[in-house]
Amino acid sequence: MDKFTCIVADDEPLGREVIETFIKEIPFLTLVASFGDSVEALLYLQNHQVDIMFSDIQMPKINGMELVHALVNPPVIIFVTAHRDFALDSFDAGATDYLVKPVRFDRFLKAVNRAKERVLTSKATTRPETKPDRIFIKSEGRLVKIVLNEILYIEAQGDYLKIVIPENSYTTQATLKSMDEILDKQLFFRVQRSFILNIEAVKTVSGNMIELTNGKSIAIALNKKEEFFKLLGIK
Amino acid sequence: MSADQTFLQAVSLKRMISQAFIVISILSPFFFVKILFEISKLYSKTLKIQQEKASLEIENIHIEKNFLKAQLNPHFLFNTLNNLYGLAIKKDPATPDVIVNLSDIMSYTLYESNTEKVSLQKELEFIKNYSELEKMRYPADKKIVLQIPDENNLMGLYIAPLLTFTFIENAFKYGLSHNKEQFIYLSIKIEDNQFYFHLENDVDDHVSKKEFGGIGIANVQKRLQLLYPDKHELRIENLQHKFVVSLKINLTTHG
Repeated sequence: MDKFTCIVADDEPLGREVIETFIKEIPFLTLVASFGDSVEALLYLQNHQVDIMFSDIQMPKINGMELVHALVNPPVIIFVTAHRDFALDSFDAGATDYLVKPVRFDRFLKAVNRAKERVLTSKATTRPETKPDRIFIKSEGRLVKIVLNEILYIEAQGDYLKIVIPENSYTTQATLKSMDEILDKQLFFRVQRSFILNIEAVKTVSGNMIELTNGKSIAIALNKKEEFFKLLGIK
Repeated sequence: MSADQTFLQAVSLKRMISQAFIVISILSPFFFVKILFEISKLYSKTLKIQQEKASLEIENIHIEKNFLKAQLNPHFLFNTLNNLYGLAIKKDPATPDVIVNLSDIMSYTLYESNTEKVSLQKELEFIKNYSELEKMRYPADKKIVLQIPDENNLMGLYIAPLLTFTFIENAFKYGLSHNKEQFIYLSIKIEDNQFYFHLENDVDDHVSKKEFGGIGIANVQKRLQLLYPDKHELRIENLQHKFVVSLKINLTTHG
């Protein structure tokens, strides 16, 4: 039997426990992560493919609706909330079901079956997976929206990344590898171990040094040069 | 014969009318102005009374309505029920206590707090019960400090019910959400018939100051003004990352 991966986002620990308990009762569900903080859930979903998300609506920082809207490829959503009056908004946001707390197990199961159908149909139509054009990163305690094509370059600094856009730069905890996976391969190139740059931002190339439009100079690794020139259309 | 009579009658009637007309036309400017004056005076007087009465009524209704609205919000109730559900599913031994706790605060807000004054002991019990239920909704490591005196030595003291409830509700609604430091610190002290209430909580940068103040707080100020004129001191500080409420009420019943 196919297993479906799911996560839970709810700021109230006991509320989360109820959903987790129910998930464990259903053999075809696998709980891969559970979050008390909606921002953590968002950051997780940007880097992991998950089938179903159970989410509360009213949470501090970003609420459940905002969480769904922030995602380019959201999983199948089931909202679980104490609010009785968000049903319409929820379905507008594309939710598959809307459960009000406290939820009976049989009602929960019904929602899960609906979600399962939805996951299966979306898998069957095999939409080409759209790459996100923007992501949210957590920088200095805030969530910052980054439009990917606007990035000039990204520099790895230990466990952190420095993401530079024309007017600003942000530091966030992430790996270059995870960024490499979501960036457009035609536009971004990893010139060495700790740098990814936007080829549109390249101003001059001289020897091993690349100068960017904002004045920054970056050295390119020797073994990357050929591939880089090809991408730039230089022979 | 009858024709004559009617003729005479008609003449005398005509005369009477014309004479009356002369009298009226001499006096009329006087009377007219006088009557008009009286009417307008009377009218403005009744209008003023009516207006005063209406505005008082509106204010009363307003206070009453907002006061009632300030009681347990359904979102809190359903979330607490859901937490109870969670406790019951895992057969947590704390379940019975939480049920009684919830029952107590429902009883208090529904029945016992409808009077102008309640015993201070009851009010403190309510604050304690409510805060404990709110506390249950958060992870155990959140900094929520409650210092509420035990119900001894409060004999004979009374207080207007739910005066501080809006503040406590707000603290849990907006507090515990800041990125760096999250806390709720609630302290109540009773000394020499004085009620000291002090509440501090963090505020997230995104919460606008306007949103935080709101009708609830204006309403508390109105009630304090009405119930404890010259007997209370309320200080509300909306600082960069925290919100501080200090309230002192003189609970002395006489004088």
